[in-house]
Amino acid sequence: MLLSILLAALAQGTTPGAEWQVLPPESVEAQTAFERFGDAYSGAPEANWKSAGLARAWGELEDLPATPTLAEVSAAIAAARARVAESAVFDEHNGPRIRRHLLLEIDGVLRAMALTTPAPLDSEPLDWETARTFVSGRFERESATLTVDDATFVTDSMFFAGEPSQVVLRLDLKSGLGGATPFAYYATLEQAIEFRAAAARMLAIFGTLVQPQLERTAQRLGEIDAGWTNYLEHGFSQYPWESWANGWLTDFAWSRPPRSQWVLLHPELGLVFDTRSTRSAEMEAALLVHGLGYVRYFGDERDWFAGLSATASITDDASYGWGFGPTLHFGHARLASRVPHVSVSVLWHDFEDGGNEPVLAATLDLWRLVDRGNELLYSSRLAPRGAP
Amino acid sequence: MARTYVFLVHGVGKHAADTWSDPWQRVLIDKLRTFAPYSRRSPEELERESIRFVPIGYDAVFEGFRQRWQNLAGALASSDFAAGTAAHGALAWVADQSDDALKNVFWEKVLDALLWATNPHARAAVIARVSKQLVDGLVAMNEENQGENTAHIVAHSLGTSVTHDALIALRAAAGVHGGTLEPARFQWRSVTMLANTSRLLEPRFDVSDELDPADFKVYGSAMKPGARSSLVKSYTSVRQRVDPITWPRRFQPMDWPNSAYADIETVHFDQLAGVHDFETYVANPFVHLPLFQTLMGDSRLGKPEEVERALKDLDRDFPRVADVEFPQLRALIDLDPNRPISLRQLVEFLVKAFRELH
Repeated sequence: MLLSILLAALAQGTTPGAEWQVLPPESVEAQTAFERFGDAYSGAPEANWKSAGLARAWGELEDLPATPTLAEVSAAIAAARARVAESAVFDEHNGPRIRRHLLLEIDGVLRAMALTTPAPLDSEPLDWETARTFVSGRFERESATLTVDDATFVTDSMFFAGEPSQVVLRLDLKSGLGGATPFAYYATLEQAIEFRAAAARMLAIFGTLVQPQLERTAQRLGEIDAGWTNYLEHGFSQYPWESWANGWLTDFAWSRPPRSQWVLLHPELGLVFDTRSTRSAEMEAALLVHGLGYVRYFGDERDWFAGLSATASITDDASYGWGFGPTLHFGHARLASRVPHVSVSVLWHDFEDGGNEPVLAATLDLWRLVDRGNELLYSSRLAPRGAP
Repeated sequence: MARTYVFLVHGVGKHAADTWSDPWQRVLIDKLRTFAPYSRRSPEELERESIRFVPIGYDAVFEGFRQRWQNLAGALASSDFAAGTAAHGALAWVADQSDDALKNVFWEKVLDALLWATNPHARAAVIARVSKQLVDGLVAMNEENQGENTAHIVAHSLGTSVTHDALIALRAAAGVHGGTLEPARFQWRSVTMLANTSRLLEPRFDVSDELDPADFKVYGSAMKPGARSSLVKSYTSVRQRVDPITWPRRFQPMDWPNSAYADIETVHFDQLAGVHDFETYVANPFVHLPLFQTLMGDSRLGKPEEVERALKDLDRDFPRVADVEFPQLRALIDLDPNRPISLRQLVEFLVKAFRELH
């Protein structure tokens, strides 16, 4: 009873009334070749079964070029199909059914290929959009666990799980922590090797078709990652409160780094040039606070930025009074390690002498250049005058 | 021939770019070599022919924040600028601590979790960084293995939450991968989460064009195994009962299928400080044997005498069994896994917990 339930669930798939012939483990494992090629029933990475004569014979089939045409892919799959259809190892025991199931799956791929619209030209390399209509992971080996009452069964060689074409090459009994023990085989060693070789051939064909698109995906993800690195590490610096605010105020997704950045109460050290006299330009160190601003990033990888802020400034020299005005920000991510980002301000100071003409101020993004010690630097600037 | 690709995802803290996974790889290889047929092979042979480790790092994203923000610690906690942000209460708690060791633990480790939980840009950038490395690994695997999928993930601590979100977000971004990573074409063969924090650190904000935050809820997300739409063929969550990091919002799905999901709880340990370590988790045969059976696709791995020896080693190397360790930490939080926990409470708990750990 237990066995029949198990077979119904694991081995027969959804095919009604089908029964699989159970091969006693002793008969399969007693073969001399089993010790070497028995991993055809498992997923062992060494895959010694690939060096068996049966599997090596599949190597005679022609390899696909790196960018095959639909006709070349079709021919490769048809060749695999023919090999399965003609293989004598599937003539006994469960072989005819295993062959039938395998052919059902291969035919499914060929049918899907025939339905591709518009049909690509035979002479043109197959593009991914066409290939994706028939490329799948269906030929992959599955592992499965099934508990029936108190017994646990495992298989490392299930294919087309849950489909009418489901195939289980071997079933083991699992108890406790240790390795599973033999329970039943549904394919001879030769059948298992031939089956695995056919599935591996299909996977290799699909792998060839997937590879260019996977490489494009990796390239695109590289751009996205570079975009985030440029934005967060090489862009206009963000104080923690700005970082949190920008997390909520900017439009972005993990796959789409932000193009914008709000500047909020952002202090910078700079120099104010008193250019009111054309004969002598005085220069004063100043603390500039960009009260509110906006920075825009450009390029796929957020390579460079430009922005505008409303800025207040204060210097050590009390005669300068408070200053206010706009600031332009510029920076280039790739040059950031050598050339600091620059901000240029035009500030109207409330000079003690009554003057109110604009002066120029420039800041380098020292916060970005010199990470440590900034707080002390700012504190010393702020201490004598108080923050605006 | 094909090699098993094992993607290793680290937890909190700074990790040396090229070498952080060496101890992980060493313990995995050492333990694998206690089982036939791998016991006959040298570590070099195994790495050359059987298994390839792909370290996945994301700490550099947090490092950028850490370096600059630590300088402004005091200002941040007292500043009105940060008031109202989710992290403000947590930062204020850190600033109030007179114990420098606690503060150091926060800046060196817990900040990562805080940024991941509260800073949308940090979370998004980490997902991007991890996704890129995952796909780089898949490109190499597909080429080397001639289309055979042997991709497994082993993640630890914060890395479990990072892995969860990265896989969910990446799969949904069809515009990026063109359908190559849809479950019909690709499923991770297994994901093993050690000290699973993915439920604790579920996102509170939107970081994906295709998905809502609700799609990242771990119990109902596409990571739930056992369906054709699943991202993974099998999912294992491992919890060391003494490990305090696993206590709040414990990962404990009730309706996941046993056929594809395994929940392993371990109780053996040696030093309390080591209960959260990757090495402690993996050195346990109740963890590494099922893991190796999955990684190597061989349920027969582990002969009775090998298992007996592994259990003896466990008793020798990890002689203590979980009881009610860390009572001071238990008092800090509600151990009901379904109770929510505030961010400030979580930060205090994590800081005090990591102070007790390596």
